[in-house]
Amino acid sequence: MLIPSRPLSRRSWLRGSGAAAIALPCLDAMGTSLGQQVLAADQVATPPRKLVAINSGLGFHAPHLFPDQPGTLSPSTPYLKQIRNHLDRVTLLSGLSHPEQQGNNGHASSMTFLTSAQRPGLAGFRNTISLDQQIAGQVGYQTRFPCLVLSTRGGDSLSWTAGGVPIPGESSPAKLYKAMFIDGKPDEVDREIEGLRRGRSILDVVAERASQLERQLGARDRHKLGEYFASIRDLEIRLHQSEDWVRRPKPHVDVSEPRDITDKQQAIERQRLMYDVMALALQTDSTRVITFHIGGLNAVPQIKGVQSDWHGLSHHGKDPDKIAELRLIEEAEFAAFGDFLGKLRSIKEADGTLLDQTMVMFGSNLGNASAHD
Amino acid sequence: MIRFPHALAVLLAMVGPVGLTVSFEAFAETSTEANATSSIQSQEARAFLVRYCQDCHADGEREGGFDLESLSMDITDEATFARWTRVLDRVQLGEMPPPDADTIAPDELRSFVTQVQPVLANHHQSAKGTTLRRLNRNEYQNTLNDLFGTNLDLRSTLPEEGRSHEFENIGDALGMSMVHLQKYLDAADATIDAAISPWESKPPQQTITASYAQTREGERFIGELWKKLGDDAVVFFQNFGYPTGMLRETSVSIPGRYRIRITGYAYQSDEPITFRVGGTSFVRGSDKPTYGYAQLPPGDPTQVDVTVVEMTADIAERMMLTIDPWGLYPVDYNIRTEGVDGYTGPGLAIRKVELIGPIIEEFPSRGQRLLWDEFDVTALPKRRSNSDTQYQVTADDPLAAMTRTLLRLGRLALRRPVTPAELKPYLELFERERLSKLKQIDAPEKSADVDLQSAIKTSVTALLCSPDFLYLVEPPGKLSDHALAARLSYFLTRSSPDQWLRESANAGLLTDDPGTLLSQTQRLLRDHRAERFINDFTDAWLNLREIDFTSPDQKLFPEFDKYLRDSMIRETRQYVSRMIDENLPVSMLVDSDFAMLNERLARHYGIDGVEGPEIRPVALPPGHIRGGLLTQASVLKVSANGTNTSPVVRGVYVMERILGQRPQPPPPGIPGVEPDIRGASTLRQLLDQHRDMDSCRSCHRQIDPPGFALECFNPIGGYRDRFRSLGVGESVRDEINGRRVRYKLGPAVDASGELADGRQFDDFQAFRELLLANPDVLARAMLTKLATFATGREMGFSDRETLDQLVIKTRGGGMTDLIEAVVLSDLFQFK
Repeated sequence: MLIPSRPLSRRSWLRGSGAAAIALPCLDAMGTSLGQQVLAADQVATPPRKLVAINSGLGFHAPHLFPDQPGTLSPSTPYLKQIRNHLDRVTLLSGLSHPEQQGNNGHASSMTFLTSAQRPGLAGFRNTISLDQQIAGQVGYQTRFPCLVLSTRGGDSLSWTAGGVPIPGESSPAKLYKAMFIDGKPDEVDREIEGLRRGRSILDVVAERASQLERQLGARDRHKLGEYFASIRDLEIRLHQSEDWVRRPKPHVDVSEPRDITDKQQAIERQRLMYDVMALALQTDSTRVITFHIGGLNAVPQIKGVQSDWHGLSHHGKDPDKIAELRLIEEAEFAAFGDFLGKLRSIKEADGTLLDQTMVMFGSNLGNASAHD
Repeated sequence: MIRFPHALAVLLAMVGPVGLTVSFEAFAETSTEANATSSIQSQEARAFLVRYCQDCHADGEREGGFDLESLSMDITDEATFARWTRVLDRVQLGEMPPPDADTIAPDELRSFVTQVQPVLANHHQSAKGTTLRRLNRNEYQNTLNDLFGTNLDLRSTLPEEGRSHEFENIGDALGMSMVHLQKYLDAADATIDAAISPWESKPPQQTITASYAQTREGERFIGELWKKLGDDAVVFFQNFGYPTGMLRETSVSIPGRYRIRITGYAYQSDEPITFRVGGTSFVRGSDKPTYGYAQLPPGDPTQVDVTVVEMTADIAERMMLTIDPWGLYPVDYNIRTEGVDGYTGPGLAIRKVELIGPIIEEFPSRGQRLLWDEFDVTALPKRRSNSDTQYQVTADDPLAAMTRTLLRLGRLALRRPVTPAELKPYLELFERERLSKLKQIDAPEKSADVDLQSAIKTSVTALLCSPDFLYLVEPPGKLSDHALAARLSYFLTRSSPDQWLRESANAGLLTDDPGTLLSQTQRLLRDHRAERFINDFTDAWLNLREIDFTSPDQKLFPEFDKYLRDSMIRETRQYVSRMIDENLPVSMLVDSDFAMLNERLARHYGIDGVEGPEIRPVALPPGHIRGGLLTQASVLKVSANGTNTSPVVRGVYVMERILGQRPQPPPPGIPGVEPDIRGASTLRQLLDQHRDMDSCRSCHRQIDPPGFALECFNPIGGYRDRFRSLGVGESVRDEINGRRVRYKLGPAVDASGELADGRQFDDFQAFRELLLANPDVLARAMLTKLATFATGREMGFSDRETLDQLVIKTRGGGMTDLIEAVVLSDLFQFK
């Protein structure tokens, strides 16, 4: 079932002896995207490439995803059936993993999905920069949002700074929509600019103080304080860029403002709502880098035929009834993901589609959630 | 490339005789920065490793994931240092080489130890010390709330903290990013805003009186699911899920502390009835807090004086009270179909609910006095009657007023004396902001009237985002009085030093007089804020923070309910709290003659005679299996998942958290054992196969036995002698909470095992006796956890001796003695 080990250096950052599906962009597309026309037409001449990385924290039941044989994909397994319309654009990789992921709990490896740091949560563990942040550092200045860090649960995220600190995920599609597409009133804009200016003057003062303090510290503490200096620098740049963007009009979209779904049991609907906003973000070139962490749920998701707690089902202990229920959930997830791909594909960008410009990585940090592996 | 010939020679000495392949990695590392103190250079040590270890750990063999080729001689790298420590430990403890291999001659062992041990100890000694420690989000929240007299949830706005093993207050693991800084800016603003509002007058206390008879829900459900009695009390005969016991009229408009009074009785019942009082809200994404559990005694509508229960709770804006009865399940009667009138079973009758508050103990708040005392504050006329009052803050000499403000605030916020010189940048920031405001209004003659609020706020926010506030700054060596005060205060109250601690520090008594340090420690342990220490410490040490990480499968464990979940957390916290209050011996960690119980826990544990929701010490019947942390439901739940238990996971839990030993994670490439709850085989049987592999045995013979002993407890901490199953098994004719159980009984539990040292046990109690036989191990583990949490750094190689001494020093003592010993030790008093 496993693809025999062959060099996979370019992609070996995918974690999980389980799942990873990538839609690779078509490399020859040319032209200016709708997003740039609306936003920053003067900045970039070639259509921008985009990255979306999605991690499903509870993984997938591997036998329902992977076909028996390597080769051209066909809708031969339950989960591939859900994305059957897009299999021509999907590369499915099994058997991938980061080394040394036994962390301080069974789910610790979600911290390293995009970073590949080892021994998550154990003594001396320091996470490293995540792939998306590395990319956002290069291209982020060109868009209103250098990156979008999203999660189904507030707080959790896949994105980590160079200093190894998690960037909290946003879980409200409505908030995202507002930030991306609704212009502030003039006095709100003024206040926002005043706030940004004030923030920068505060940073100047504390940076000066940190320089004085640094001289009193030993080597290790100085090193630690380095994180503080880096944070100030990053935030200064960010506040500066924000000032540039605040006065520019936001793009307008034909989709009305979404209403957040607060019932966490409507897990799949929540994923779909987030996917919709993600597609809008890419379409308008509001960002080029998105991570999306799909956390598990310690509750029963509202899906026909599902009666048990999702996290509990992932620890199915080979019980066929539980696996059958789990399949219903995971099929719904794949269907939602398939619709997301379909949406990207339906949007024209340059000579091709938005999907052509976007690398979408969909996987899990767990290969077999039932064994926490 | 080869700048250190001796390093190369050493490497060859190791490689030469046995022909190991030189890996590029090892070669590169060894040839870089090797120096006398951070590199193992003894040729004998290498020869020793080659002689005893190469069969299984070299030439492509890497049993247990360990191979000599990749073991660098330069120990400055943390991971390498850990591996060398492990090598030394396993050889010294006789765990390696394994029994079926060569035995090491005693003098060879001694020589190996004397060559490796000092290098490790020296290196650790030179590099140890708490790394500049950022306040974690709990500490940050406590500090700001204590400083300004606010009660804000700042924690949830901040990123999750990095952890080092179980603790999340370890300097090394606490990172800092732009995201933090942005959130700190916002949090400081939010705190200042909350502190100065309301300013003018203390908001009046209000009393809301409500009853279910006069609600929209009442109109709808009375007569159908709820019953209204002659005294207008409304009776709930069961917890329907929907409708809930939400009481719309109790919606809180001003968040704060409230007194809740509930009047009612147990209707048609000889027994008191327990209920939960919680909050619920229409606000999106709000949670459903539990404020408490209470009980009402039997009564009837004709009674004039019926019981009133009271509790206090911090209630958020727009929360409504909800009351849910517990333990009521109509037998042979369906209220939904048969109606409420014909039912003669017990019900919870609520006559009225009163909500009194907000209770404001301090007015004006500490924060207002701190920020505005030096200024003149006037209320501006309201533009609209319903808008908030606006204020104007001015001063005759703004700079002088701000200087005094910063001096007062500075020494509290920075936890040490401050000089005007170091506050100058904040003062200048204030002045710049004030002048820019002045420019905006373009009327210099009115300068005295310019509102100073935003300038004050900006300056104070800067102070609260400065490294001196955000980090616990500790210069190398012995801690100063103020650094020591801060360490002690964050250890035991999880916040900055209070007035008495500051006074001791100012007088230089903490470093000078061990008696003062001791009495301050004792005082803080009795302070009400010590509850934060208990909560944070047990959350980390015993992993109680993950109590909701999995929810138990309802088919397998139908008896699990919210009341049990809430009670089990309180049980463990109050148990640890009592160990400290009563200075109980460390042996009580694993066995005790009492348990902290309420009715729910007592039922769960099969103990009779405990009534009501209050948790209290209860003497255990002789020979009862409960007693000690390992028998507590919270511990048993967090060490399991929602469906099954794994002896490996629980074994690791016991080793790390109770015995203070850290088993190695499984080597790469070894698949975990997948549980199978179909009923045919137990995880233990599956593990047996795994453990029989040579490479797994050496670790699993240590890890698994404690987990085997705990096999007699299910994932929610109930006792079991057979596993429950959803597949194969014997059907059970039993009802739980009025419903037929759907699980079956599978294979019998085998809780016997053999410790790595050969001692055997038949069941959990026998295992517990074996643990008790060596209280020093328990004490050492406890001291290590306390010292780690107290200092914010992992205890390392060169701390071993100190910890050993503390074990001896505290022998025969109790939990408080341990805490005091840690505080009085060099571990605590040096950076």
